[in-house]
Amino acid sequence: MLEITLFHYLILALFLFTVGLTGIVISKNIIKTLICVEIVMSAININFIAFTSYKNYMFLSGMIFALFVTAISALQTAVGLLLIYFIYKNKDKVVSEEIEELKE
Amino acid sequence: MEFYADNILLIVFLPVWVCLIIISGIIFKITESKKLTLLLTLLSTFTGLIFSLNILNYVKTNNLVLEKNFLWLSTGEINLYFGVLTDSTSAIFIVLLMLISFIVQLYSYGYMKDKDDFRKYYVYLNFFNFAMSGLIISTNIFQTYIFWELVGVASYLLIAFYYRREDVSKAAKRVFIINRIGDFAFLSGIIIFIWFSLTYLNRTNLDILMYTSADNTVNSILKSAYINVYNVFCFLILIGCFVKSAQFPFNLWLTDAMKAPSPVSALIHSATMVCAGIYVTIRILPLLSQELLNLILITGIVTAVLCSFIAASQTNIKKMLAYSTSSQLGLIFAAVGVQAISAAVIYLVIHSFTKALLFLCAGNIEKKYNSIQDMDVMGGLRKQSFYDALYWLVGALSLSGLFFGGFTSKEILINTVSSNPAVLFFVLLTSYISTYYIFKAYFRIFEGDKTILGIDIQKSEKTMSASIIILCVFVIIPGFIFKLSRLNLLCLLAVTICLLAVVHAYISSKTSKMYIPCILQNLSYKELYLPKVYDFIESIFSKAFIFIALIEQVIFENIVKCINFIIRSVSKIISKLQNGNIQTYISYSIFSTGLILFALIFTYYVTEGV
Repeated sequence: MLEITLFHYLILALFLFTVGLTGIVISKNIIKTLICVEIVMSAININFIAFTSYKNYMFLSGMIFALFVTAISALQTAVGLLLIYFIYKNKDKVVSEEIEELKE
Repeated sequence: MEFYADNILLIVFLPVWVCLIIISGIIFKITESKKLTLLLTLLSTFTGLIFSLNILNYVKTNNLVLEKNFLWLSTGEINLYFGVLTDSTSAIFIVLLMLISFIVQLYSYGYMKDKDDFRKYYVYLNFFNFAMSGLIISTNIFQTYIFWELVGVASYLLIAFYYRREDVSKAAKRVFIINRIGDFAFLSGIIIFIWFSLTYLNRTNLDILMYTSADNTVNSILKSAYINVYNVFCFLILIGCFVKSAQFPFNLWLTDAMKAPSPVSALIHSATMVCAGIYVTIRILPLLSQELLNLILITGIVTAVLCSFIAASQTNIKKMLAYSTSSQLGLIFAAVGVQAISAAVIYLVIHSFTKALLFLCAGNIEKKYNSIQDMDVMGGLRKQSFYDALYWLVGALSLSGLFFGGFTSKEILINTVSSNPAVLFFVLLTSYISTYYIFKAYFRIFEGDKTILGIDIQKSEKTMSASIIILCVFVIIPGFIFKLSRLNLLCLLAVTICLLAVVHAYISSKTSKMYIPCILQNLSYKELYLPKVYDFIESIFSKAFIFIALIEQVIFENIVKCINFIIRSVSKIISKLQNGNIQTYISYSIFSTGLILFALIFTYYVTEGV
């Protein structure tokens, strides 16, 4: 039976992180981008928890931090969705390539 | 008493405050009152006058030399100080400055009342007071230089006061440029002094030339074998002084400066600013070698004779007075050249009062004739305004040395130079010509039965008459205060000569002939062709500047264009990176973070040697 070590967790987190980052960069729809941000966040969470439980289990600061990250990512998603909603209302589109207002 | 001497800086900085108050009044549109401006200015000048009189009394009775310095800038090798030097010389000059400033500011109210920019004029006057008193209390030559420039700026601003008239702005520019020559000589003198001290005297931690320790400086220089370089330094400083005091051949700027309003001419270009050159010369006198003293003497004599000679045939009142100022300053320089400091200072003070009086009179006359300054069209003014004739007569008698303050000062001057017959001869010659032109002007303006129609004889303002009367008092009183040292033959000779000159002036004003050879008359009328020479130099320079402008157009403009083109094209490429797409920006961020991480890991491996 394979023993699950810190290394495996880190590999998983790296995988998720890369997937999320790639998604952020290449996805056309902004909502997809938002979802990918969530994936990145969960990768970070996994990192926190893995390190806490393997290296520093006497102190639960990593776990607590993970909770914070979850809460903040929820807030961030809410704000992001609101922004996307307004963009959609004004411009009638959610494709990120066509939104170029930052240029000005 | 000590209180006043301690707070001498108040004299310098009060005008600055008044300046700022008037400027803020103009900017924030608080009040348009002209009287308020006048009162504020007069108050500050009067405070300055009270302070300076007390300081003069205190310093004179206790025979003190007070000096305070603070380090302004230290470059390791050179220390530059700012400070306050109070001794009897500077106290006399400050009293003179404040007194004449007060009178002129009072006078200007009547003179400038109808003009726009009335308050701006008073801002400039206050600024001049600041600069000039700063110059007088300077402790070292560098501080003097700074205020020297400020005085030049104030003079320029006041000359160019009617800057909308083209001739005025042109004349102001010329005045400024000729003054720049002197300023540049002054500055190069200072630089040479520093270089000389650091290189040849092996001084480190050099204090720039302080006036009170000038003797020590001289001693240390005389010990070294490099007197020639040191003479160059003194010579350049003297050139600066000559230019400021309008000595030949730099006297031309003073005639151009007459485009200023008459009160300004009275204050700056006859009584105070032009004395700055003499003041600095007196300060650096311990440094000067015998040759340079001779140079001062010769320059002074040449200026005195030539400028009074030119003044003799000028028809413009103010131009004549300007040349007269140059020639009288020449006499003062001659007195400095024979190291008769007290005679020079007394002569200077009384000449300042006299010349200010004459200029204010000229202002009155000009006002009556609606800004006409040509004496040819004037005549018979005595019948219409008796008092003006009286004031002018007082000024003329004093200037010629027949009566009043002028008599006393001229007598002292003649007695001091009497040991040198050549100098004496030229002084008497100058006084003859001076008497001649000033009385000729009197006869032409006030006497005769010419009455010009269509010229409205306005009543003078009360402030104008009051200020002239104050000046008259200051011209008349010194004639009785100084007790005559020796009422000797020389003095009698001088008076006889002057009386002869009066007769000459009377006859030549009747017949409008000068009774001198035609060539000389022509030379005098053409001002020794000096303006022509200056115009020629100016034309050479303007041609040179056309060439320089061409270089600028061809070479520098293309260089600038080239740089412009390169930057433009590069930035066009770079600006494509900013395409407004958020995902691109995230990619940049990821890429650069990766780069940094890579660099960190790389350095870690390199340093740890793994």
